Amino acid sequence: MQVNQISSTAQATIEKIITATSRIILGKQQQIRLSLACILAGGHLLIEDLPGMGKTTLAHTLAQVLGLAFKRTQFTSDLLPADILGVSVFDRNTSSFQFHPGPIFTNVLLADEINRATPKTQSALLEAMEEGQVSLEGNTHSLPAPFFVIATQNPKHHIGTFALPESQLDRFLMRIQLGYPDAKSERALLKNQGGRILAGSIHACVDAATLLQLQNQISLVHISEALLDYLQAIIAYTRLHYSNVSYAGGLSPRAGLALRQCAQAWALMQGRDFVIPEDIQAVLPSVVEHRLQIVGEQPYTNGISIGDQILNGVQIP
Amino acid sequence: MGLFSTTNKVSVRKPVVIMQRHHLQWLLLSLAWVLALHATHLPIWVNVSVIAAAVWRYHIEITGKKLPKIYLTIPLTMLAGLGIIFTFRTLFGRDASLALLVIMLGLKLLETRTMRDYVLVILLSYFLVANAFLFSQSLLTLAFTLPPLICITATLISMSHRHSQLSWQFLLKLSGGLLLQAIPVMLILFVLFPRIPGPLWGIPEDSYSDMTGLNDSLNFGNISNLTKNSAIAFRVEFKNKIPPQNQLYWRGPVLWHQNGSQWLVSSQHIGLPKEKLVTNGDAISYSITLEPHNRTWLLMLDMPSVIPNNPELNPTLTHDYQVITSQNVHTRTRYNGISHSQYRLGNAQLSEVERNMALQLNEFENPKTKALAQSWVDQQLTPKLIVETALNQYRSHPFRYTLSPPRLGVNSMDEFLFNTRQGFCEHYATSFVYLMRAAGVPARIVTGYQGGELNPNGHYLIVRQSDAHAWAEVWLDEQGWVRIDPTAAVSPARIDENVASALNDTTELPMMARQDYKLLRSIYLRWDTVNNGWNQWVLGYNEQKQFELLSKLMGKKYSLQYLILWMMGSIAAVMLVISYFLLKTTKTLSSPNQKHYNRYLAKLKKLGLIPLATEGAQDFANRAAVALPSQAQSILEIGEIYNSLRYSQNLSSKKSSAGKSTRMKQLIKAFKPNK
Amino acid sequence: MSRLLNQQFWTKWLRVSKAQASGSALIGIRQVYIFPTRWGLLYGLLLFALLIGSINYSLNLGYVLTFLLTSLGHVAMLHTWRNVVNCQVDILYAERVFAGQLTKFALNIADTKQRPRHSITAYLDAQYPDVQDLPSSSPHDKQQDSMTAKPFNLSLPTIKRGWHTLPRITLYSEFPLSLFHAWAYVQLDFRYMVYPTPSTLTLLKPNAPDSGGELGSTSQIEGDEEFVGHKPYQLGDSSKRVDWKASSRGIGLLTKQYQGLGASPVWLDWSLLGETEISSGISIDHEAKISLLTHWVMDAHEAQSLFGLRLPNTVIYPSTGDAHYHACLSTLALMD
Repeated sequence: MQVNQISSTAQATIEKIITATSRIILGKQQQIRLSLACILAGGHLLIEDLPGMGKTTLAHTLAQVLGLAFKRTQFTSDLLPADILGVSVFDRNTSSFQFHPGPIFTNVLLADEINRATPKTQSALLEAMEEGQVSLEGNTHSLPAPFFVIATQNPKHHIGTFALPESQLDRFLMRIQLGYPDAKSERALLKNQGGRILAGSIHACVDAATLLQLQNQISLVHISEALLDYLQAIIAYTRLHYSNVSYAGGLSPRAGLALRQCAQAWALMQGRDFVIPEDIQAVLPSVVEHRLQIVGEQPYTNGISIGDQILNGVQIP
Repeated sequence: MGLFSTTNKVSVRKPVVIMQRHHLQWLLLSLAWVLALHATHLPIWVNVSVIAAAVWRYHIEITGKKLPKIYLTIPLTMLAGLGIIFTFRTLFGRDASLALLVIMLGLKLLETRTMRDYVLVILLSYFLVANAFLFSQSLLTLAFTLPPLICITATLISMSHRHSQLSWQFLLKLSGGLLLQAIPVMLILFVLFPRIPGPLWGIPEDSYSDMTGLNDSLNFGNISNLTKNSAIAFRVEFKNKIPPQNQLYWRGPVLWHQNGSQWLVSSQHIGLPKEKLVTNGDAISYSITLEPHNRTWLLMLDMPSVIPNNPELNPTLTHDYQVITSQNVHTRTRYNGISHSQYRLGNAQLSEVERNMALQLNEFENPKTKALAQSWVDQQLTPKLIVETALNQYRSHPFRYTLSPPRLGVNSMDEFLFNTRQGFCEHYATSFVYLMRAAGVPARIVTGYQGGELNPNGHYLIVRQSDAHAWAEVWLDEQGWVRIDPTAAVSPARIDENVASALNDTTELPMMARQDYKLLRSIYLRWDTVNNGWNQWVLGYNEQKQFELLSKLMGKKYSLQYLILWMMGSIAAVMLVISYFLLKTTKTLSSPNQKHYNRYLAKLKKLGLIPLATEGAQDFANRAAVALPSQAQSILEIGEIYNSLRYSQNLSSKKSSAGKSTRMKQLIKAFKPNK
Repeated sequence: MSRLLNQQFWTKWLRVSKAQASGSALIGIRQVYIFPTRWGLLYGLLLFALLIGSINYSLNLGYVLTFLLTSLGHVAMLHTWRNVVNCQVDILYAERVFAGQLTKFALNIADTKQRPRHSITAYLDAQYPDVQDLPSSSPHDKQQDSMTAKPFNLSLPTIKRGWHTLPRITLYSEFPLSLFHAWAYVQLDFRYMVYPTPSTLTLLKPNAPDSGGELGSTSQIEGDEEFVGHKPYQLGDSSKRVDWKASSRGIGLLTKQYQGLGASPVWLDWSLLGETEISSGISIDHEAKISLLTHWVMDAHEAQSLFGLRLPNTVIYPSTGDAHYHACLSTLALMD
């Protein structure tokens, strides 16, 4: 009974956030919902698309709507780990090292064009993402809560980039692609001279504490045995279809958990206190596609995304 | 041309498959069971050698050594063959060939390596299991063959799964399952497979060596030895009332010829005219199930008036009213008979030949006995009085009825009648007949069984070897052949009750012939009822029974073609049923909610709306709502309720879930899809 | 007449499970053949011996055992058959190999009737079979039996380069008693690529002139001196191009790479093979030329150099990377 009540208020809050965001990011309802699900599930988000598609605007807007501290770092090839994490500087007055926190000490870090940075910088960020803390010179500094990274990246085949290795991609709970806006949204965009002007006028719909409360409710969303069977079948399917003799692909146990958490978040966003198969199906492509790759020569995959392959290949128990 | 060249190219020689250790373990386990089944039928040295071979083979497996070479196995094989010849004096015959087979199988283990070898050992093991039935066909034997069968089959399954090892639980379960599934067709074949009367060729003589029963001659000790055997001789079912115990004389061989202490069935009776039988009173009809005794006679109640008509036995009646068959009785045989307890046997006059035979005695023996008989003749007593006097002789002197009488010398009758005076029925019968003949009264010995035990469970009589008995028949001119039982004169209890009550010391009797151990006896009697049914219906199911049963079932149309048609038809039917169950996909038990929902899906199916296997209930509801806008509302509600019933935690309360369930039921009931 | 007897003729009459629209093939009830194995025939002999023995000795329990084993054979036949029927076969991937090597295919063979399958063997070429157990398609059973679905790895020798259609797959099982051999043929609609055999000749590449100017149209080569990234320092790199600032971060010396001024591309040119022929004094036929180019493409890819391929009818402009490498090899494989 209690769970039910909480979720109905939760849904109202969530709807408010989505409406506010959609006012800025036009015609991208689905992507906004997925991004929010990712944040509610407490994961980091990777937005992958060509430059100029509104990646940064989405990240910025989300941070503002959620009422969170927001910092943005443009990743370049000469960015150093210290530029993100911070440095300890010797203070002559106190005769001790003083820690100067980097931009990572915030609620939302927008890592713009993450694949432009060197692998060393990338991994420094990703380690901090994974552990929720920064270890420098023997001292550990906790990151604020909530903390999440919204990274953007250009598709890998652009020259002069360091593509994130698969092991790092696994750290991102979701990857979404924005794509071109539809004609109506495009028109509205042109009329309003883009979203960024409006972005200044956004008011926060929630605060950090409410967000944390929402995040806590995710784990209360019930997932039945039948759906755990479904998740297992999905994982087994990927392990069979995206591996070969020399390469063990397929979803990792972490990926399985990610899928479960995202489905729970999605269910909560729909105002339910239990997961249904459609929740899993809705989040699946965003959760799994960046973790899998097609190996060798595969038949019949022309034009069918990995997400759809899985959804069409696994029956609902 | 082309065909041959291409097939030659395509065909690949199957590689030799080497079996693994777990296969060997299973094989050895199966062999252990098979050996256990036969251990008592085999000489000890064969048992020991086979175990040694198995241990040796397993040792080779663990240590990874090579299997013994030919120069070792061939001499061993020859040695084993010689051992068999030395032990049995032959290589053939039931026991010898079994021992040979077992020891060869043991030696075969030493070169068992490939799939081929394993399969040969497996098939031989199946064969050896069947061999156990040559020794006994009891229910217990059948039960004992089950573990080896399951184990051998499990071995074969593990051998068919060579790429990885299956768990023993799985193997045993599957093997048992396969055997269980094999039972229906087995039953059909058993009943309907046309029976061909055996034997097809000669049967080794020793096959029946361990059958017990009466002999066609009587020596002192024959019957008393038999009395110690509790084996069942035959079982009798009476159509009506069971006659009193002292009337139950089961007639066997009639002995005419005396030779020292031995009495023989005379071969001279061939050609003698059949004695005439005049009967009075009620006929007693009964059927007997005779245990095989490897002799030709069929036991009948005194005095058989109608002989069995089993065509396969071809029974005939001798002149002295023994019923004999043309062949030795090797299988349990059931036959019907009718007898009368009141009768007159014999023609008006005893022929010269018969009289001579019935008075025949060896000369120069037993002078005292002959003198005693002569004294009665000298007193000019009538035959009837002579009989009385002789019986009084037993009553008036301290004769004792015992299972272990003292040994007797050359003049055995003199010693028995005048000195030892301890004996068993055979002593009393022979001495009585001897006295009669010496006194000029024609007499003969009849051997057979007396009495029997009633099994209240099945209402039939069990007659055991321990009921073996001998009595006398004397010729009286007015009455013909009259049965006189001198044992009754000494020990009436033997005749009125049974052997156990006649003896003071029953320890020498088999347990089942004694009167103590009440509980054990009642258990035994129940068990015997089961066995009797087993014998009647399973072991006794022969071509004649098959004919009777199937004629009853099929009516007059019964013929061989008809039988085969029936067999094929019913096997096909059973196989169809089995394959239906094998191919049926096991559907998970659906809840009532699921059933309602399925009903709803069936309604939509008529309009071509079928959910995909990868489509959730909500997605389907959305799709259906678009297709059927007029019913969109209830479609969406059904989808929502179904999802919440199926996937939500029923934590809130049972009441609300029951409410939802009824709501869905109502919606589905009211749901009439139309476009 | 001999054509009629040809094996191809008969295979037309074979019942083969064909791929459906989804790409997978389902082995139907009518597509399964079954025949006793040699052990099955031996078993038949045993049954006959038992029957004769039972008749001869009038052993009714002998009959019972004979009939039980007969029936067991029947039941085993059913089980073997049902082990194969209703299996679904689809191909997961094929590895691209060079002619003369073994191609490896991964097949997914799965149960569709909610029962586990045991000892299913599949082969394309009888010499390279693979045998696996298939877990039940029911998710409830999966938790009980610890079987996991594993792909079947089948191999096939390759001789010719180019596209090939996947030959008929044979699938069989003799489980549970090895008395019967139940098999089915499956034809999937799939083709696989075989690259040409790399030449074993160690001939020098002809020094193709840097034809950037000649072709002149590739923007990638002609572009401005735009910084595109770093590469690890290699001996011989100009010291002017070392990025000292970036190198000071302790990740080793880095050389700046500029588009258009990178290493000059290697051109592997079909028309220049004639020169090689003359210089080495060996005559090279058409196939050998393809082999030679294949060999050089492999070398160039291994050396991570920028290379292009110029063939009589096709030109592949210089590039690097796996995709480029495979594109070059495919083009060579498909040459007339």
